[in-house]
Amino acid sequence: MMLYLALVALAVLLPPVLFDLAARPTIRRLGLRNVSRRPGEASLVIGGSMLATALITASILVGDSFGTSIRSFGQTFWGPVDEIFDDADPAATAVAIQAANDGSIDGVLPARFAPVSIGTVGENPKVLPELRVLEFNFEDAKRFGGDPEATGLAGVESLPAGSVVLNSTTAEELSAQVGDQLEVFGPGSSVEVTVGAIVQRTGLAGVGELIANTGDISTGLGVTGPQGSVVLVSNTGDVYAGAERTDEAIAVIESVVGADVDINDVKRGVLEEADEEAAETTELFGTIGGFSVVAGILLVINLFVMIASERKTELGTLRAVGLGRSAVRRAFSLEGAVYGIVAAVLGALLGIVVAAGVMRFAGSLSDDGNITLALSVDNTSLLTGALIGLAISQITVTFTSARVTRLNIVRALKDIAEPPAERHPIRRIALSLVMIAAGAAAFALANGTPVIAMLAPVVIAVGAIPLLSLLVGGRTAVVVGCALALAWVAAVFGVMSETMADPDISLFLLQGVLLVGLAVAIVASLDSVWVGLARRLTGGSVAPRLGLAHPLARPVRSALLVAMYGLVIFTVSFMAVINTVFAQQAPDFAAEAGGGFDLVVDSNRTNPIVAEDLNARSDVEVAYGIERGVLTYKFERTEDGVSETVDRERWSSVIPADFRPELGMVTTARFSDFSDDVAFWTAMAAGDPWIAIPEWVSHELGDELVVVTPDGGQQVVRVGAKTDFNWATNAGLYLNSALAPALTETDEMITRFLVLANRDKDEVATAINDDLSRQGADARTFLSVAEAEVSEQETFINLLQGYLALGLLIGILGLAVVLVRAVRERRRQLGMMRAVGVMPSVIRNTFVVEAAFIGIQGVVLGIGLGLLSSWQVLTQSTAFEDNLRFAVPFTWLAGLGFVALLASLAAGAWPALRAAKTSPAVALRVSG
Amino acid sequence: MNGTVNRESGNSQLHTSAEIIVSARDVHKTYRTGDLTVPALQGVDLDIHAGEFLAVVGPSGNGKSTLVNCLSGIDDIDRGEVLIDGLSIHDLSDRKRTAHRADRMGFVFQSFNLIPVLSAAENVELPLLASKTKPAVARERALDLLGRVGLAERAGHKPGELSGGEQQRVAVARALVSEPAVIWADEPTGNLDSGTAASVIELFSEVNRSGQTVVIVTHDPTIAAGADRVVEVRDGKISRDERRS
Repeated sequence: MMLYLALVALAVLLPPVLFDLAARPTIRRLGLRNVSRRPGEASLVIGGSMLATALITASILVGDSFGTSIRSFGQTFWGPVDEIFDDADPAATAVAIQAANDGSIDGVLPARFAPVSIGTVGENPKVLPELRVLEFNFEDAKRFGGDPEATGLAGVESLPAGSVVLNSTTAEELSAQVGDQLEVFGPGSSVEVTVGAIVQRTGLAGVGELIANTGDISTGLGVTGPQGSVVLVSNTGDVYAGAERTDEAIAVIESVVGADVDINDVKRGVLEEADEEAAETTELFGTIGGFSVVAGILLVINLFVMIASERKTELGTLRAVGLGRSAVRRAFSLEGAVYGIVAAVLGALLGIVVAAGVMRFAGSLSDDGNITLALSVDNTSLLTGALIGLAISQITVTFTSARVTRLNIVRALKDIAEPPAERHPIRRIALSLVMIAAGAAAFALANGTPVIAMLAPVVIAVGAIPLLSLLVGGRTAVVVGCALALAWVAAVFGVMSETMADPDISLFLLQGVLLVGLAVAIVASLDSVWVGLARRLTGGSVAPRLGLAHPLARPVRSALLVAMYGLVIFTVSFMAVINTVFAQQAPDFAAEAGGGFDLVVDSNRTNPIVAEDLNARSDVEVAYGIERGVLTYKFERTEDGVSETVDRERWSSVIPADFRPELGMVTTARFSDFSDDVAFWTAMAAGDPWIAIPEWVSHELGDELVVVTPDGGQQVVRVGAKTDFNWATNAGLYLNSALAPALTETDEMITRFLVLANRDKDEVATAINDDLSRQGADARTFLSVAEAEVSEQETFINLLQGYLALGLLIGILGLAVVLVRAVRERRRQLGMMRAVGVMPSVIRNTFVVEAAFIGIQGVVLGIGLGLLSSWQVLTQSTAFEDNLRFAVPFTWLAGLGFVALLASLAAGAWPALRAAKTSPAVALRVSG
Repeated sequence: MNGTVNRESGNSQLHTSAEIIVSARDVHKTYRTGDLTVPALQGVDLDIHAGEFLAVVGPSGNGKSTLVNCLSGIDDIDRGEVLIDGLSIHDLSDRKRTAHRADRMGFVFQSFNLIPVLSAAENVELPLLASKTKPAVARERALDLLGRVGLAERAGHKPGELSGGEQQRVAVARALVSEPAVIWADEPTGNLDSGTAASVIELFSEVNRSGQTVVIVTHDPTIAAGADRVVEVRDGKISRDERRS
């Protein structure tokens, strides 16, 4: 969408520029020679635009890279496999499918999965608790799908009995070499195998982490039942193209096995997920980067307004000697187009560097080992970023050019300030009424739409400003109107919590831009306050007086600068608060998820731990085995007055009959029958017909659900409680033990345990993992699970904050450019000041004060609004979890403020020194 | 006719015997722009006495403004010496030279050079604040000076809200505010109509009558005719130095 808009904008704006470049020598000379006249300052202009383009390009490339990385997961993990399904007699089914094949399938492979734990042999053995063993006929597998390279097994000539193939990841984790002995553990037994080959983790060697010939491991371990027995199907076409024939292939398979069999279209699922992930990531980074891009646009506007102001006399001369307004505007546009094109090219290239950094950092966060995140540079994306950046700068330049060429020739030649624009009361009243009416109508008609709910009252409040100014004066009207609008934007998540319950991320961008824009307008209207304050604090010294006088005399330019700073600092502060709030909530999360328990212990499905072993341990007070599986149920739903019965399948966990209620998890809401959590878990343990559901499941307390058992029986249960703990352990619904027979897809034995430790819980977790490693023990404290979850979020937010730091760079660069240009603009003033005896140090301090004034306003507004907005969103709205305790990361924010302020002073340092070195005689351009 | 000087005559004998406030010896100044070298001053010798009203005249581009800039110390010289109050101004550090200008000199420029973001009063008090005068004292003095130049009612206006003549009168008030010994004025009436120019020149005359030295660079023969002394600069040298009785 953005690309199309950019293309339309460029199609309209660039042809006249190109025409002037080719056929209008005067305009060409004026435009191009101004570029080369001051290369240093041209570089700064290009630098500002370049950063905005870099951020846009990086957002697109990061999205692409996530998508490509996930798509490549289709290659590395599934290779030629497009569909997979359970089958009790896979060999016979494979033959039948081959016979029924209509050309959509180019490979069928009977196989067996077994999750086992595996270890090296010898002193200090390394054990991996759960590994996917894949058994099949090795020679058939090499030919599977018609492309031996895609199977990942092409380099292995043969696999003798007793030998296995390891993929490179597994070999690395075990530090295993070809020829090493490994021990595979099963229920009560183990088998030894030899590493026959190590191959790259791709294709079938991605599907299985350890590959063996049919029966080599399963027979030895005695796991030869139907569980784990599968058929792998490869569709005609290569690894990616095969997914396009999924529907045809499924039709062939179903013609053999029937429509009831659950055929998992793994490849198509991965590719669809990749596309969704790519779009979401582009949107996320695009939105976060959007704050910086807005800052970049403000910078470009500021730069061109300044250039125009600096060249006022020159522009006046051009008009006086006969150049039309259009010609002057086009010369200006041509100059801007040169900056824009160079910035777009360099920005797109810089975008690659930024995206590479993001992907590298994101890659270090990804710990599941399945997806390797890597930068992927697509030329179309690169071009898209460059074109969007160019369009933004060209639109800005066009509007700025049109504005600056509306000058009075005499005033421009004499360098006299333009008089204030005439104000027509009737027009202002009309404008006010139109805006108020439009805002009110939009709110009345569409206040259920989050954007309208946020924006319409702002339009009303801002629209009332011209009307109000007739009564109380312009500045008071701006302050009152903007303050009302700001209060609304800050409070809208709480006031309209239902509308804002599931906010789109772009809504936060809108909120940020509105908050900062309105606050800056208020601050800019309070100039007399700042002057009074500065005079009171500094006693009227020259440097503070002049340092404030200049930015206050140019409120629009200063507002753009403050907004640039404020926007970025607002977002970084907002994220810092979110980070802190989540980090400090880890113990609460752990308590919610674990209830009275300390540890969650998972074990290998093939050779699981048994509850008796855990309960026999001296460091365990009690351990409960939790049976898990899929619950099928149905319920009545009424929508638009029409009732229907809806079927659902949800992953569920069973509370055992001997469960101690006081150990139950924290609930977020309970049915009125239950006075507290213990009462609820007592009923659950007693087998009463209640269930607990995660918050995100859309049933209400007391709702009746009809559970369907595998034999077709039905049992009614009611929703007794809601919980927030599902994220930690993926428990799903909690059922009482009476409902256990209703579960399907359960493991043969229980593999999940909730444990109450009677010693230090971290030590107990370590001891269990060490002692029961052969059974794949994976014991974790609830706190560590919560902390890991929070840490992952924290690191991701840090990544986004780092990304935003580029926006701060735009702010710093913008301030530097504006001050450098201010030195040039005020050259004669500086010369006069030096002539009448103002010390260089005073002139230097003037610029330092100016930079600090902008920086302080940006920092205070950004941090203040960040705190206000995050407090609102976290505590007054339903956009985030309930019961979050608001917390302010004082040290972090102080550090941010300090760094931002330091950066603004650094931005002012060079111009300040340059100004201080102004030679009075040269600056006054005295001739004689 | 751009302005007339209304002053009491007969002070020239007094001036020649008065102390020398500015003394220039063998002053050379050359401008270099790329490969181009322009000798602006070529061995200028000049003494200016306290209380003199001196007009510097000459064709454009012959070194009038350069002479004033070099004598006042706002521009460096290549060779020679300029003594102000007996101090070799170009041997002073930039800081001391700046402080000396703030204490002893006032400047008026052709294009006013007021700071547009400051009010008239704020512009006038600027040199006093630069020399660390207390703000209240500086403001009182600035308002007093603005009253003297007839702009008491315009003290709170910014330069953009003033006419050209009013702006130049603010600039004169700024030059006078620190009660300098010497006032340097470079084409102060160049941007003004004749009536306004006359009123500005009258201001300088008043100042000079109160004992302050005034050096004016001008093209206007009327102004030059009313000065105690006329110095003509041609090709970077003083070609005429004439005292009027």
